[in-house]
Amino acid sequence: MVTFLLYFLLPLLGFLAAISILVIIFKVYDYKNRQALYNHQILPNQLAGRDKEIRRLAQQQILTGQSGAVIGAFGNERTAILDALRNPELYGDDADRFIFSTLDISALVKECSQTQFWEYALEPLQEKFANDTDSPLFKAYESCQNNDFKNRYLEKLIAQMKQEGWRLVLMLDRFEVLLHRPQLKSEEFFGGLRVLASSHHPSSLCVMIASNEPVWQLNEDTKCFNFGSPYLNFLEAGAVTLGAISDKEIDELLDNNIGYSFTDDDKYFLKDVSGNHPYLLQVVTVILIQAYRDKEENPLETTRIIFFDKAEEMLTNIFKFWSPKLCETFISVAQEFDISSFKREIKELNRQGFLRQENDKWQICSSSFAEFVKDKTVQELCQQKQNYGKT
Amino acid sequence: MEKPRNPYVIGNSVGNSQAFVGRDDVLREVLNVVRHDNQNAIVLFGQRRIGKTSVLRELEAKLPKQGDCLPVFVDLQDKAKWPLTKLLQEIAFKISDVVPDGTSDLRSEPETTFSNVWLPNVLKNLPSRKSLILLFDEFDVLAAAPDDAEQQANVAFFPYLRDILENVDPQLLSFVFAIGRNVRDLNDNALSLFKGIVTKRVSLLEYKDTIRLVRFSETNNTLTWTKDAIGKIWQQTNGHPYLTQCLCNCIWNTAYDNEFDKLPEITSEKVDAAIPNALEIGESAFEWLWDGLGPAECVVASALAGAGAKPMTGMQLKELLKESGVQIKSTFQ
Repeated sequence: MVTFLLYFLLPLLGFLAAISILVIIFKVYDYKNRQALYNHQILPNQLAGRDKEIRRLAQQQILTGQSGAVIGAFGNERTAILDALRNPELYGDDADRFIFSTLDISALVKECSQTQFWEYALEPLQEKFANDTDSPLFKAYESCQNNDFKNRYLEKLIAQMKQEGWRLVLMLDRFEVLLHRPQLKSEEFFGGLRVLASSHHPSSLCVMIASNEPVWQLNEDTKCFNFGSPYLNFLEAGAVTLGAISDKEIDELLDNNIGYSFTDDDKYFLKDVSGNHPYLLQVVTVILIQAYRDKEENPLETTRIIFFDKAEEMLTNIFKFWSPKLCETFISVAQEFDISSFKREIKELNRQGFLRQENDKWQICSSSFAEFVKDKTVQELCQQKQNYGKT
Repeated sequence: MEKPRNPYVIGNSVGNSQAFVGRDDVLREVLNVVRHDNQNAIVLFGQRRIGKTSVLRELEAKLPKQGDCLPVFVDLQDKAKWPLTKLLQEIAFKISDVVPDGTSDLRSEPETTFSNVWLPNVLKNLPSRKSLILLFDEFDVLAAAPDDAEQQANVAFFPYLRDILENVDPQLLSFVFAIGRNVRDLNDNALSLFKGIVTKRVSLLEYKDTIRLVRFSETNNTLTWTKDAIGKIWQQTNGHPYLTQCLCNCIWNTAYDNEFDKLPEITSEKVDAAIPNALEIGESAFEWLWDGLGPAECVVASALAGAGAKPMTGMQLKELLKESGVQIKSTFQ
């Protein structure tokens, strides 16, 4: 028995354990490699192809004291744009008078109150004037703090900022999550935000939201507790949608920024798979270059297969946050169903670079996205959103 | 280095800023009411996005200079479901912000205290020859909110205010109410408040004011306009302030999206090219406008739109509606 244990069972268990450890190490290594591959930026940065949008938001909204919005399906891209807007070089001499504050709404606790929200939002302002406690601005801030950041006190603070020539640029990332924060989903919060940001021109509070839901959809979603003007109509005109870019712009990005020479077939493939969306182009270009480096026999096909997995993951995630109607529209286009009742959604998906019209027929821009949804049902794909909405 | 700035404003209210133009008739009418011996209230009504809040903000800034008034701006959008006591306390806070040495404590019985003690006291202690003027924005939210509770502001505020209106000295206190619909479309509760009160429509800008607005970008040296282009803007917007700002904003953005060597000149072709973009940006506003129309207004607007961009007499419109199967009653004729 002892011999059996010593010479057979223990070595066998040791061997199996070693194999298991090796498998785990390999998996972790492979996962990290893949993550590194996908996160690697082959284009200059995640903002490639988005200069126009950044310039427009900075110079035509923030610089003139107006609010705006960044609308798009890909969170990384939206966040990168908000980050880019903090660059003082965009604002010339005025930059010194701007105070930037960024809040990721999804990081706020579910029971976050209006008091907590404004406490976080005004932290950079509080820090800036912390050494000047006798200043009228700091006193106005203190007054807010002592009165639970009620709208009336916030109005006075913003008025004081205007008087002194300061501007608070409040960036609210993942804004759509606010609708899932019960204490903030109120007329007092949304109505207050609207009044604070849009009552005067130029405003000393510029609200810059990033959301995967368009502003009109957010207004629709807040209708149930709104009896007056749409809460977010002050953002509509200053909203930029991160959609597809032109073939010419894609060619310029690929020719001038990568240091890698693509054939015309490669470029056609990249446009077809990415649907000319800069964010997807970034992802697919990385995979293709890696396929070439790995000396794959058929690099385009390999890329298509790898990207398809990635597309599946991305789309599933996107569907979670799209309204059921937007989701249904996308699937209806892919499966050539009747889309006559989805006019507004079609327009929105076109703006966001998911759909394009060719010969009077709507189609999905990215061939991988089209492939992924072609056999799926609405229930299958839009289920998660519906569940999300109920919670 | 100074960056070129787009002078057109869409999201913010433009009252008390350089971007505010025209509205002399509205401002005059309000001043008439404020100075009148027996009148002390006026309702400013107008379609959505016509610029009512901007007018109120302009009044807030101008009235102290022109009318010896102390204006108090109260936005009601976030207050429709407040209890009356909370709303009165808020108004008291707002008033005490502009009245020197004002206190805002309504104590334990705000409803009685506000109208019987606190407000008369404030009015009695106003500086000589000064009067108080309350500017209520989004007043119609009170009429639109569901009546969940008897003491909710939307139910109790109208009769409460009516009482004050009837008993206060018009020389000391006036009211301006901004609403987004015609007075006759309000519910009975709100109608009883506005009975006998002067109303003034906030409507389209005059031609000269529209041109002044378009030329903002010449004033700040960022664009030049041909005569045809300006004519085109007037033709397209007919002086609607939101549409004019929206279209000019798109034109300005397009001009500055591209690199250029000299000051961009806007021609009528460039105005045409910007129209689809302006319609897209204004889409939500159009939807909102449309939602605010009554059924009859929707029918007439659809008929007019279907007939194309041409002037039409009342008789022609009647014929057009008849062709579409709409019978007109004599009141319309």
